[in-house]
Amino acid sequence: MRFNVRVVDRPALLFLIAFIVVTLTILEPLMAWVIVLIACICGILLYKVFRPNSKRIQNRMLNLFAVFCIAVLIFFSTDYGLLNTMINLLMVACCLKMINLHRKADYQAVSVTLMFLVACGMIFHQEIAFTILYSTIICLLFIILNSTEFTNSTHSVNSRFSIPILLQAVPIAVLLFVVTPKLPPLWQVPEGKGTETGLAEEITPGDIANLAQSDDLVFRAEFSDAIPDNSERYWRAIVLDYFDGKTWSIQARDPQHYNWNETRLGLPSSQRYFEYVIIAEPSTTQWLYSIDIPKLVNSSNTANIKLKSQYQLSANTPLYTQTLYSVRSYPDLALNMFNESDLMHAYLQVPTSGNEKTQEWVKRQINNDLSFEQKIEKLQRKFLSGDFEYTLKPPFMPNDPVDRFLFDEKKGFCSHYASAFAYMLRLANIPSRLVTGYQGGEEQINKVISVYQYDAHAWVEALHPQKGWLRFDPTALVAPNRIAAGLRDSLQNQDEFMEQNPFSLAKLHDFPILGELRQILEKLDYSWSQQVLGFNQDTQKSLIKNIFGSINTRVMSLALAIAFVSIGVFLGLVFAIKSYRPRDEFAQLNLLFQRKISKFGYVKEKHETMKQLVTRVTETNMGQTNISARQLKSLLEYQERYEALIYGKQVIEQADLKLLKGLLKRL
Amino acid sequence: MLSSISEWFNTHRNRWLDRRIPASHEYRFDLNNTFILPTSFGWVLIFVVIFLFILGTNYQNNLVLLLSFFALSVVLLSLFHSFYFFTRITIKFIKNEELFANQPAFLNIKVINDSDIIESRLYYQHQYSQHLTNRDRRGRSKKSIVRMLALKNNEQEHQLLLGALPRGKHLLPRITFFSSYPFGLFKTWSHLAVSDKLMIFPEPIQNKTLHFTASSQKDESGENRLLENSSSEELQGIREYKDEDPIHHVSWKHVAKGQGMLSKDFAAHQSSTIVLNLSAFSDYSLEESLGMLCYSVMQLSKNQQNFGLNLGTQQILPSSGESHRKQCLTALALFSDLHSKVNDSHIGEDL
Repeated sequence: MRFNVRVVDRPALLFLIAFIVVTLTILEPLMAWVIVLIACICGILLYKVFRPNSKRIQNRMLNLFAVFCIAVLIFFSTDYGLLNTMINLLMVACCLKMINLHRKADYQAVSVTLMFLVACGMIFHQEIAFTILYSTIICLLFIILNSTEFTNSTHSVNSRFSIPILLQAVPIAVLLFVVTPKLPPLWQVPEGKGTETGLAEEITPGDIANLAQSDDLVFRAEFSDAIPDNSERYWRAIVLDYFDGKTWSIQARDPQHYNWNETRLGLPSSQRYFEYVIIAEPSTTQWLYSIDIPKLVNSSNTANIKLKSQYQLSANTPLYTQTLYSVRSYPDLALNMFNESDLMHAYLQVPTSGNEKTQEWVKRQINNDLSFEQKIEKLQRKFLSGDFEYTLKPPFMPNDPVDRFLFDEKKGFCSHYASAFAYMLRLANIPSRLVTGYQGGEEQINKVISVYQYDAHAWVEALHPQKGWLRFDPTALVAPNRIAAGLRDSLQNQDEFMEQNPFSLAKLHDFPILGELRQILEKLDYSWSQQVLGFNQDTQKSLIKNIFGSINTRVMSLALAIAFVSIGVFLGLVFAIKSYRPRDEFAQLNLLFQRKISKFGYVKEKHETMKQLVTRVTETNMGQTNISARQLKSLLEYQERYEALIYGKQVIEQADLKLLKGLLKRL
Repeated sequence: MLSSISEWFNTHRNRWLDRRIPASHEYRFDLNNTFILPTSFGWVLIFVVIFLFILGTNYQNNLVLLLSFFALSVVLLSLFHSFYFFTRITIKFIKNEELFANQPAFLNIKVINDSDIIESRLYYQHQYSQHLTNRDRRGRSKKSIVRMLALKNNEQEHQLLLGALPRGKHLLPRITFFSSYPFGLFKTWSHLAVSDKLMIFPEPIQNKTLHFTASSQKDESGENRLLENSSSEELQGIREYKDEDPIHHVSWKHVAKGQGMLSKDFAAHQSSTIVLNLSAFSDYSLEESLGMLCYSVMQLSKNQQNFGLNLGTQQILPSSGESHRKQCLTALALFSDLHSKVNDSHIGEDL
């Protein structure tokens, strides 16, 4: 089977490549059978691309099949989510449409569908690399659309005429983007991401170990002045209070939100704080990240983010898209700001059955006469004495997990330690709760800390009667390196790091050049996030304020008007440049001729024809040396050809003009 | 009811167009005679822009917003580029070849493209008017594609396909030229009117009755009621004057030159002059007889024969040559038999 490469159906091939690339980037929301279907159809399309004149598949059959697929998808749609169903639908429709690409309308339909798919891809991936990829695909779509307007060959694609138009569109688009007012979400939208990576509101100790296998970015924090060192980087996210013996979850939900004021608390101006801006990646929960105790800075997303009584930050809705907010954190404040007396029973709750060994052990060790500090010390000694191991691959402990962990296996991840410790504290009649979030983070060059999923951490808070909530991190007892240096350095078995993710860039940390490259990419991506993706209503307002000095409707409308005017001017320039081309090639030629002649000191007189002029030049030049013989010859030749063209030829072609110009240049 | 409304609409439209785009030989597309509107795909893309804007706003996703603004700016730019491209084109109506009824009619045009966009498509289309109703009674227009090969400052001749037309002198309906360069988002079009009426000669129908050779017609006089013999002589040379030569045969030019009396030598014309007669075809329908006459005219002219034409109401004296042929053909094309109104009404139903 020979493939004749010259007869490749290029528009179809380009469509196919674009489709495959987009599909690969949004594999997650696709159902399994849809993926199989797409793979089969891509095979068919590949065959059709290299054999453009093969038999055409009947439209009716395709339509029936499409209707069937859509029916199946709608059947599954209710529990699959609106956005994901839509994506599946678009995928199926697109690849079915690509089978029969014959009329212009077919190309247009495929282009529009691919455009929607790219938009869906942009909801999932917003990094700069993906953005560049998607932009190329969009440009490709327009180039293919342009090629349907040409006739030289239905199978080729010429980008020469469409690229200038696309480049002209970019500044207009950017200007419109900056100036158009940012509206808040018009209505409640369905969930954005399909996968569930990230911290959840229910934790079984093994979960966080799984999370440690992912090197997805969770958030970035850019600090204005001081940066906390590793031991201070406890990013609080979710607080869990209910323990059923195996899983921690949230029962005590306080709907209220809280505000606090530095001056009202009487904080001295020398009180230490960190000031930073966080850009959080989309996640499945509404919890945001902060160092204790956070205070939202006024100019940021204050409408949508609230402080909760357990010192966490919460958004109104799950994070569908990147969220930017600025925080000031006072790490030295005591966590006793809010009154939680009515939640005490929740913080002492223990499951009715299970984990008998732990219960007995605690009963033996602790009695109620001991002080708070003594109880803590006794319980902590358990971890210090036994030979506990910190590992990413703890053994599977389905029944009585705390017993198995504390007395049998003695191998676990941070969540095992935290869960066991919190349980023990509760058994010792100390109110305690589990806090999950992130610990550490990688420091970048420009005072930015990037936190990844493998930095996920769990720790414990116990309520001291006077001092308030105090943090206790049992991991720090067993694997102090984890807190001091991060996950990689703390694992006894280094190979465990990113074991399931062999291509993770995080592994490159040790190699100097590649590590630096990764840092540069990080920096680029961060700037991209901040400038483009973080451009929200507040940033827009501040930008306009900087340019115009104030913010009100008049200024906004003025900005819009100026934007439109500049777009108009831009368009005018574009087309003025296009029109400026000397229409009459002959006039141009004549001008050039006269200029050349005048260089030799001759000026064409009014009544003189070219022939007379040339004769005059040759005659009076005899004996003089300012025109060489070769130049004279060119001059004569030019005159002959020129007259032959003007008076002889009906249709003058570019080649003739070029020849004349060449002759003139020789003068 | 609807048809009368559409008729009223059409007349008004035509009147308005006549005012705005008067008939001419040469058209340069510009602001006055060009129209531009989004195509259906253009509307689709505008809808896509709105949808993406809503999507981006709801998800607070700046990238999707950027995409929607990018698509909007492409649409906006496409408007200007479409118009710019279309107004670089000049169309000249040039001389036509001879056209016959019931054969595909062509209109010769010259297209001049001023831009450097080569190999792009320019479409044309026209409406069949009542008089030209030929294949399609409902007046639906047929669409054809003109491939435009255009180089920088170059001209190209094309032929516009008009379909088969009946004989006669026709005022052509306006021809619509349109294009949807660059992305198919906007359609720019113009309705151009051809200023000259188009002459369609009757379709030549081959017939044996006039199939003759250069030899004398006397043998066939029995069959031919069509032919009238009349004498005609052809100049063969110059010879010496003989007494019995008629005076009007003398070549006075030579006498004036002082070369003596010489007379022109005439050879007896081998074939006789023919006069084609319409009444001879009373067996056939009007169109068929005109067609056969047309064929005869063409053949006779090809053989450089003298012939005349007798159409009852109109007569053309025998002659020969190009202009005579044209005159005859024109007469045939324009012939309308007032006596046979019955025949006329068949024109519409025949085909």
